[in-house]
Amino acid sequence: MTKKKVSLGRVFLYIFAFTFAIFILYPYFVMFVNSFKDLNEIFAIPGTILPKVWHWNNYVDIWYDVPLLTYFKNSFIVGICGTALTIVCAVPAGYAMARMHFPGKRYIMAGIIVTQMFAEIVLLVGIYKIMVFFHLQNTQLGIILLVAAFNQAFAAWMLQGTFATIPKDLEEAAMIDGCNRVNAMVRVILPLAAPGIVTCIIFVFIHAWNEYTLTLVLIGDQALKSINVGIHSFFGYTNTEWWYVFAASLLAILPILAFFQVLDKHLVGGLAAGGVKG
Amino acid sequence: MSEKKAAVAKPKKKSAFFRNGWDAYIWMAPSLLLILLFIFIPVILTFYLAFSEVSTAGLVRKFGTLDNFKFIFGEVVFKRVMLNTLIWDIVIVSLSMVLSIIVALVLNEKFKGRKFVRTVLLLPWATSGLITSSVWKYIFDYNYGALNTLLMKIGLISQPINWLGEANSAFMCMIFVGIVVTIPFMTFTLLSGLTAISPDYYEAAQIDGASFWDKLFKITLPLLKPAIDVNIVLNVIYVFNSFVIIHTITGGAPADQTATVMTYLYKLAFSRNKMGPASAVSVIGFVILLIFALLYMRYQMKEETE
Repeated sequence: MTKKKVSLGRVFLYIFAFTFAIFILYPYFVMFVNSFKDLNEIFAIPGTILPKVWHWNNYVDIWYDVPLLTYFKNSFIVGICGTALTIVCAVPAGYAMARMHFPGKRYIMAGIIVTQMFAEIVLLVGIYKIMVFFHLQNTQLGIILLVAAFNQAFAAWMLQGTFATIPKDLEEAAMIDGCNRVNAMVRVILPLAAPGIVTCIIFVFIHAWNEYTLTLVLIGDQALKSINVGIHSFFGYTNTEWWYVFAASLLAILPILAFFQVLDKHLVGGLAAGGVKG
Repeated sequence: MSEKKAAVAKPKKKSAFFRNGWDAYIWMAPSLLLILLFIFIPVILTFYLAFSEVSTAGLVRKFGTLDNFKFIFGEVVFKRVMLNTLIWDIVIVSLSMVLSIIVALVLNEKFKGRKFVRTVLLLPWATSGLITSSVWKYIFDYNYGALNTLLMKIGLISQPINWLGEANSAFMCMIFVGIVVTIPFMTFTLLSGLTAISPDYYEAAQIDGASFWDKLFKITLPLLKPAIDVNIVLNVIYVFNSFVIIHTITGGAPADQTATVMTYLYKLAFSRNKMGPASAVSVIGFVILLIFALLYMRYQMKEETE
């Protein structure tokens, strides 16, 4: 009797899991099929689900009709430089938080985590002012610095968690052997922390790649816009070029899909370590 | 204990600066500098502007006035905006939590295709808010939206439904999108909480003949409570800060009836060019957030000491 009950539970489990998966995948399905439609079919009433004719050339034309290459280039610049700056600053901070005792540590650590609570949007006016003050409005450097600042809390805390799992004996041994702290950290700790650092890099890159609000507010120059703000510019007052919105969106998701294999392995632990922003 | 060891390892002659651990601040400096310049100073500036008279050119004329707050509370729509924000936050966090617990429980079971479902669940988390919002805006479109097309094709409706046409239904649709983007993060953090529960509990319960529901309510949920609590506080904050969904789908239309604090603030600052009142809205949002931040910190500290 218990066996029968269990197998009934299994049936519900499968139904729920796969209904849920289909539900999550639905918007991606919508993006995919509609990226192949042409203007007439997108706005046809009644509409179609699958395209009558698959316009594969949408994916070629988009590169000519809109400055997609520029958008991608800008997103890569902000993504890569923003991630690099975030990690370069967060590694020593995370290390100090994990290993050193210093006056005011508790308050500094709490102060850092508090910054995670404030999204760019709530500080919009203040951010805008400081960017104008430094002449960084309408520059990618400004966005890169802001991305690095807003990712510090997450990156430093996550790396702190990683460093804390590495036994202290190893670097103490290295320091007895004559290494100074910096040497011990670079030679002994960094290699051991590499998996955690890589995970952190991926998370920060995804945050930076998906950045939208700051670019929307601070970048006016068409030639400096990121892919997300670029996609938003396809929205018209009367008609939206949906096939381009979806083609560009799917292309913008691709670089992140490339990380999925690594992500799946580390996501659960990583999220738990940092209390990550969604 | 480790300090003793380190003391032996380190050379004895050291300046007071290093002995007292102030050198840690050299390690922290780049990180702290970024946070100071680009987060704390904007916070201070926002407060400064909120209590100042700001010209349309954005220049401060006079500091020490409550006019910006008076302006905000004088806006007829502000009450609606606050109410919307409250509903937005409570409904999204609570419904996402219930659903995420179910999804996490399912994904914690071993079944064929579990890896596939988990990978699928990563997608909304890794997709930018703008892309997610764009596609749902299309799905909910009245004339040619994918949802109306689908429902009409399978014969559930004969006339298209104007999902985004009216404030209340548009707001509900956006709450739905908010739930979709909140679930992945919640589920993965709950999942890590679930994997930490020792199987011994369940084995003991099995021997005692406990039912599925007994195990759920007497073992799983009580042990998952810390993870649930942290998740609620964190997500109350994130969902409160949410901007892109509403900005993209309705932009607050019609007449700010679907706006939350964040989209209202954006519009004040950059469409209506009212930097002073926008800063005042920031300060209001800020104070609300700070209360939650302190709650979260207290929790975090408690966890650490335990």
